[in-house]
Amino acid sequence: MKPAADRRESEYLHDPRASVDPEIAALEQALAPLRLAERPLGEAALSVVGVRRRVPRGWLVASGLAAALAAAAILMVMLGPAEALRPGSPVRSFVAAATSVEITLGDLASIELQPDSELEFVHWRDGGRGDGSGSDGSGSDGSGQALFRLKRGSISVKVAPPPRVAPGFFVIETPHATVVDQGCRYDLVVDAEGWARVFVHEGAVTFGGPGTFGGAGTFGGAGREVFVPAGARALVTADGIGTPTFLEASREVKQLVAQFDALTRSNEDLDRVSDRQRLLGLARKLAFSCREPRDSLPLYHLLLVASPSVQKVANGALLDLVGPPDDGARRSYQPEQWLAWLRVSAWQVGG
Amino acid sequence: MAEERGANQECGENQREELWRDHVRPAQQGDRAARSRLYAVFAKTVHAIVLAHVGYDQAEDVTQDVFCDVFASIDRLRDPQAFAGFLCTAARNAARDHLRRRKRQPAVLTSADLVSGDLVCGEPSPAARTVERETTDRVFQSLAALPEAYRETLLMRLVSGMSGAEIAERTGMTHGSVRVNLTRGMALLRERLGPCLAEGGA
Repeated sequence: MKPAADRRESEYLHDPRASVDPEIAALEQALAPLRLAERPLGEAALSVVGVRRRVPRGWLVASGLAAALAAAAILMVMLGPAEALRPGSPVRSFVAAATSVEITLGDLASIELQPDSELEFVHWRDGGRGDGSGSDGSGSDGSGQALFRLKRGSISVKVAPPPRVAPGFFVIETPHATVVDQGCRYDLVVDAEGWARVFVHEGAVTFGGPGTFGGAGTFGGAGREVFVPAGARALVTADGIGTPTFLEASREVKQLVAQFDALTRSNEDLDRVSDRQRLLGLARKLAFSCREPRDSLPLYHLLLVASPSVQKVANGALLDLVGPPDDGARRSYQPEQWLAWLRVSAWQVGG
Repeated sequence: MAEERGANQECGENQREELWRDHVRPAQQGDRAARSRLYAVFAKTVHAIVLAHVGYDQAEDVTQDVFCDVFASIDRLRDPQAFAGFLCTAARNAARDHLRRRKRQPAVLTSADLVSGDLVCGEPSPAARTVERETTDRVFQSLAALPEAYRETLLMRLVSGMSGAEIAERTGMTHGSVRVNLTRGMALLRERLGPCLAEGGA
């Protein structure tokens, strides 16, 4: 430490662009682990609205009706009719500048392209079992594929559930991952660097590689795919796809999931014994922190990790948390058995 | 998200001042992009304030809670220029509420909290990592013992990497106050850390 007599106030203390002071730089390095991790603003903060003041009920109804009529009139003037696609429509780009753009696929799906967003329509291939009677595509049976690429910005998607639309019909590619609809309503946001996050309101999506950049978007080998049910969200970056969690998961669970993902991304092969031990340790901590049935979502994804020890921890934790599938015996189950069980139990809305 | 991450690096100081004030009104009306931009500008400031009160293990989540609370009540803010002070006050209140709910003293960072792949850690060997964790513990505990004003300002500088000018702009403090907090805070920190400060990375 500098003696008091020699201690001058270092300009580096007030401006990081000044000549580096080794003493202060050492403190910065020591505190580097405390830096805020790069993460986007949560959905709750993005969409929260304040509590409205109470007004007399009559005024509320009248003012609400008037506002709705006015808004509808303004929207009709500003937006015009929705953009309608049909099977075989040519490739085209949709760009929403100051206002949103609605895109419909008959009665099968609709997309609201938010302001400052760009979406490319690639194709809509009809499965061929529909009667094709609707000029707007409404005669399509939703058994083929509709493919879009979200280049930037955000969209809100509604897709008719099965059996009207087959799972996998509606596909959105982002730079680092692809979202495959499983019959639902969801929001998808892509930023300028291709990072994407999805939040599912109803139904479910699978979120996986390779994305339009052709990268793996994975850990543990190419093609990691995560299952995102209603009420859950997932984030994908150039480094890989994060394990989804429900919005209401505890801070502890979310933090441990993030640590687990970071470890697996940083070392896909887990060659070193120390890394495998760390992974197992994290898996155990995560399993211990999972106390609500819906914490089974990240636990399910642990079953997909290429480590028998981790899979065993996950299977045991799931048995404790939600019980064996179909009230069967306490034993090891395959991931697909757990998925089928969890989709109708803990992951149901209100489950 | 990348727009927000790049905002601080790409804009000059004057442009940055314009940037955040322009987004307060839209954020009040629920504009998601505006809220994201405000988060990008102020996240590190809020994180440092929260870190000063609740410790590392909860700071990130409490930071998100702060923005959620602020945007839920932002319609009460009449002057966009007051947003910085409004936000910082909300951060301190949220941190104190969090502590009250937990009914215990501010969490002191422990070595176990730093076992994470997504933290900025040092050398790969376990021994080196242990030393680093102990150093971080020691420095953070010394900071935790400082008066609140010095602690928050030093964390903004040393953890969030903000300049004195940025700290003043993002908190509403005067440049002079920031300078005093950094200088006096650093002097107290030196006293607490003593010779340890000069030993290989604090």
